[in-house]
This record gives sequence, structure tokens and C-alpha cells, in this order.
Amino acid sequence: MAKKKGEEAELDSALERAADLLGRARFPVIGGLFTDIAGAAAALVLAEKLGGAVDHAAGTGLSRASRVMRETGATPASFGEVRNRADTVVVIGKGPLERDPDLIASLFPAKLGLPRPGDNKREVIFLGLDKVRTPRHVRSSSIRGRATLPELVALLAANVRETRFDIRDKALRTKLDRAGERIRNSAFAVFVYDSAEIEEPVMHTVLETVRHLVLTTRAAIMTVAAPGNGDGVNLCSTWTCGLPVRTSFARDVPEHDAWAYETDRLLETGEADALVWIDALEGEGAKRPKGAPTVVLSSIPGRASKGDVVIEVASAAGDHDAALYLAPISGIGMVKAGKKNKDKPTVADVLTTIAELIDARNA
Amino acid sequence: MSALVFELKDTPDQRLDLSPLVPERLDGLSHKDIKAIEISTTRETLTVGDAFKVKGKNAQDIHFYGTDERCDKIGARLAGGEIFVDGDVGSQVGARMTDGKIEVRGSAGILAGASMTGGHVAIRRDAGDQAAGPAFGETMGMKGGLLTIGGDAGELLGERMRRGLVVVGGKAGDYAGGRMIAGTLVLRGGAGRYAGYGLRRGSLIFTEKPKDILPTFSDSGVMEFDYLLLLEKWLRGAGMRIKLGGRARRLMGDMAVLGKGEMLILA
Repeated sequence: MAKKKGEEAELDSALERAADLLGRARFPVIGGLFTDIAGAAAALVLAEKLGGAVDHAAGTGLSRASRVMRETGATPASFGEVRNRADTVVVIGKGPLERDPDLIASLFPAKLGLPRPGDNKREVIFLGLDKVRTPRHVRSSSIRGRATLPELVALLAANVRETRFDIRDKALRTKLDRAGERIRNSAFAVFVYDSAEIEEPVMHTVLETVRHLVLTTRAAIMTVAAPGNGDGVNLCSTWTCGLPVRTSFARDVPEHDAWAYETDRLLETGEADALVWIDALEGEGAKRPKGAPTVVLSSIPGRASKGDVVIEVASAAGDHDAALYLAPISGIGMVKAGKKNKDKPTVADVLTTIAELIDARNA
Repeated sequence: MSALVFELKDTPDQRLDLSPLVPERLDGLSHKDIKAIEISTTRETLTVGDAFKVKGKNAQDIHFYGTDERCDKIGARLAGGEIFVDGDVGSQVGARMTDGKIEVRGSAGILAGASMTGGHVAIRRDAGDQAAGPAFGETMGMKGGLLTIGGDAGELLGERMRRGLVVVGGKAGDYAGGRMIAGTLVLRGGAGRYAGYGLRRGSLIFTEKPKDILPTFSDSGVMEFDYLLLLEKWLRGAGMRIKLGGRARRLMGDMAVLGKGEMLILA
């Protein structure tokens, strides 16, 4: 079922109107992209056909992470490795626990499945946030102070390297000394952060610390998954066209530009003259920007009542089985539908039909 | 021979990729050929002739008039000759250039002088984020040449810079000199937070004491630096009114990483 300017309309009519709108657009952007892998793949095909751009609602963090990985590389650990083998986990900032409130419980189960290196009792260090409740068998400490999060990361990095730095706060100094010693003596230290929360130079300092530690022991990073299957969509974009999200298909070859192809900026400046907004994941919602005629594909019509063309779609993992990025396996897996509903089309169905309608008009 | 002039006819409804409008590409082309060059960034084809009035002949001396912040990549990969811009410019002015001079009378967007290896980019007013930083697809920022910014600079000025000199007349944004490997920034109006974050080597020269200094920079005291006098002489020779003197407080950092960089605060 679809809605047209707030009134009930047939799906076919909505699809025709969407094809009209997008077929005329000079530079459409496909944003939000809260969808499964099939939806993302169909969005990339449509973007190429339209000569438009693709972006994800979590594009800022995804772009930062992609740039860091491309520029210097990184040493990520999988969720399972961290859970089973890390003896020290450093949680940087509030982002990781805001993204996943059960993160600590998941990383520190009462029973470990695999032998763990070293003799240290497991410990979690909260950097830039207060301690949260941890299981009894896990030590925890918090490093906070007047210093900002980037300063705390730099101070901890300097302490791990045992280089000279100046701070007057003696309590903070004591905590940093203790944490630095603990990290140096760890068999496997892992730094957990949210790419959307910390700036690139800060991420690089964390990675430099890891590179320093791996000269003598084992260390890694773990980033929390982006919302809305962001990591899955980003991977799908990369394996499809060789570039992450925030890529344009307007010219002969795809062009990635994290600044130029950001949805909000494109709409604010009027450079994009049409938007396809996709918000169709079970349990998560993306905030839709405004500023251009929009085709909204939403699994919750209430979220998008003011769109020019609104098409109600099935929710991935709610109404239909879906391939999604799953943090616990650090990869893409199939998630069974909560309650199968074949009455509504999937995002991939709708985008493919719109592409076919545009092809038919151009034929 | 008169300069080759491009005068923007109207505000474009899309960003323009002006990277083809450099001397080595335009030399020997007729006006007809030049006007046929595509500069569009959407599927709606736009040529030089659609967007600009074209006059003059000398492709070694290119002038742009009436440009705005949608005019991207002016002088990108420039290998010689001069470009003068009477107006604002968009992203990546002078990015990856190897030689020549670009003078911008207005402000510039992001990535001005990104990954340039030689030549001179002079921006009279402000520059956006990541000036002298790494261009898209590059692993290092500016690798040589001179970038001068008369007004303020955005965040991440000189990020991952490898060589070269940047002079900012106004204030630089946060993370100025972030992750620099080498090269020199002269900051005449101070900087935002986290200047020198992740600095490996290279010099940040402040003509005034910055408001915030990272705790991972270590004070080495006030010293005499002959090279500041040499730099002052060189900058004056390049037409800049600047006084550096020979004394400065030296702070070594960033101790969070390699720690072989320096902040010099003129004393």
C-alpha cells in the first residue's frame, strides 16, 4: 500500500510518480539507507542509472572510518576475539555504550569459551566516562578529569609510551600511570570506540598506540557498529563500485567525496534536486532531512507523512528475512523475519521497479 | 598577449569541475575547443561555453572572474603558469599542483592546496577545512610549495603534511598541524583546540601564545633560533610583512606519538 500526498493511492501509481520525479531530477541523492544488503545493492544500481549519489544516515562516522582505514590501515579485532581473548578493554568515550548498552555484559561473559592469553584478571578501563556496572570477575576503572576526550586519549597514549607530558592534576596522573602500566603489561589490549564520536586525528592516535604496543605484545581496536546497517551498506557499496558511501555516479566513473556528497549539505545548498529516503529496518529509525522533493520508502508510514511520494515497504528483519551486518560475528549474516509479511514490497523490490520504469521511459 | 579570461555568466545550479582549465591543457586550443570542454558534475552536461564567457589567448596566464564557492578544483594538478581568480572558489583549489602560482582574491573551500608538491597558492581571505591536507585518495597532505591564507583557516590545517610552508594571517581551526610528518605552519592569529595533535615532526610557529596547548607538548624553554631569522627574511622576500625575530619558546611533541615535532611561540 502506498500514500500519495497524504492520501491513499495504489502502489503502481506511487511507483510511476516516483519514476517521474527521479527521471526528471538533475542530481538525486539516495540517503538514509537504513536497509538490508539487497536494498543497498538495488539503491546503488538505481543511483548509477540516475547519475545520482548515495549516502547513509551514519555517513559521517562511516566516512571517517573508511578514510582512516585507507590512509594508514588498522588492526581491528572481531567481537568474538575481544570477548574471548582480550584481558584489557579500554572503552573510549560515551559513544560505544550509547550505541550498545549491553556491550560490557556481552564482552565479559561469566564463562569464557576459549583459553585466554596471559595471567591477568580481565579489566575494563573507561576513558572519558564514568564507570558502569561490570560483572564481579572483571576489574574496572574510570579515567576522567577536566581534560577533554581527545586530551585524555593523547595523555593515555603518551603514558603507554612512557614519554614526558605535563599535567597538574595529580589524581588524573595517578590513574593514567596505572592504566598505562596495565596496558603495557596486557597480553591483549583492545581499544573500543565509536567512529562517529571521535575525530580522525584521535582515531589515529589510538592506532599509533596499538602499533607501539604490538612491537612487544598484542593489541587491537574494535569499533562499534554504525546504526541502520551502516557497516553492511558501506561494505556493499565498496564491493559493488570500489568506493564507500558518499559516492556520486554522475560521471563516467564513480567518485567518492565525503564532503561533497553528504546528504544534508547537498539538500541545504540545493545541489541535489531530489531525495530518495530509505528507512526500513526493524527497530531503528533515521531522521529525514528536508529540502527537496522526496520519495520516501519507509516501513513505518508515520515516520514520513510529509513526503511527496510515500511508499510503505516491508521492514528488513521484521517483515522479511534480511542480510545485515552483525556486530557479534563482525560480518554479514542472514536474520530471519520476526513476523513474515508478504503484503508489503521490500526496498529492493521497489527500487528495482522504479529503475525498470525509468528504463521503459527512456527506451 | 592578453590573458585567457573566463567570466562566470550566472550562478551555476551544480558544482563545476574546473580542473581541465589549466595551462598545459588549454595551450594551443581555439576558443571553440575550450568552450566545448565539459565541466559538469551531474548528469546534466555543462560545458565551459555554457557557464563562462571566454576571452583572450594566453593560456599561461589564466584569469577567472565572478566565480563562487561552487567552482571546484581551480588549478588542480597545475604544473606551471599563473591563475588569477577574482572571486571565491570551491573545494580543492591548487590540489596536487606541482608548480606555478594561483592567486585567489576571495575565500576558498575545503582542501585548498591539498597534497600540493610545489608552487604557490595565495588566498586573500579565508580557507575551509583541511587546507594543505591529504587530497582524496592520498595518504599525505602538502608535500612542498607555499600556501598563504590571509584570513582564517578551517579545521585540520596542514593535516598529515609532509613538507612545505603554510602561512595563516588569521586564526586556524581545531587540530591545526594534526599528524604532521614535516613542514612548517606559521600561525599569526592563533589556533583553535588541539593544535599539533598527533604531530610527528615539523614546526608550528605561533606569533602569539595560543590559548590552548596540549598537555602532551613538553616545554623546553626559550631559545635562539637562527632559522627563524632566515624564514623571516625569506617571507619578506616573498612580499609578506612579518616579523618573527630569533627567540621563541619551544615545546616538543606530540608525545602521544613520535614526539619529534615542535611548537615555537615567539618570545
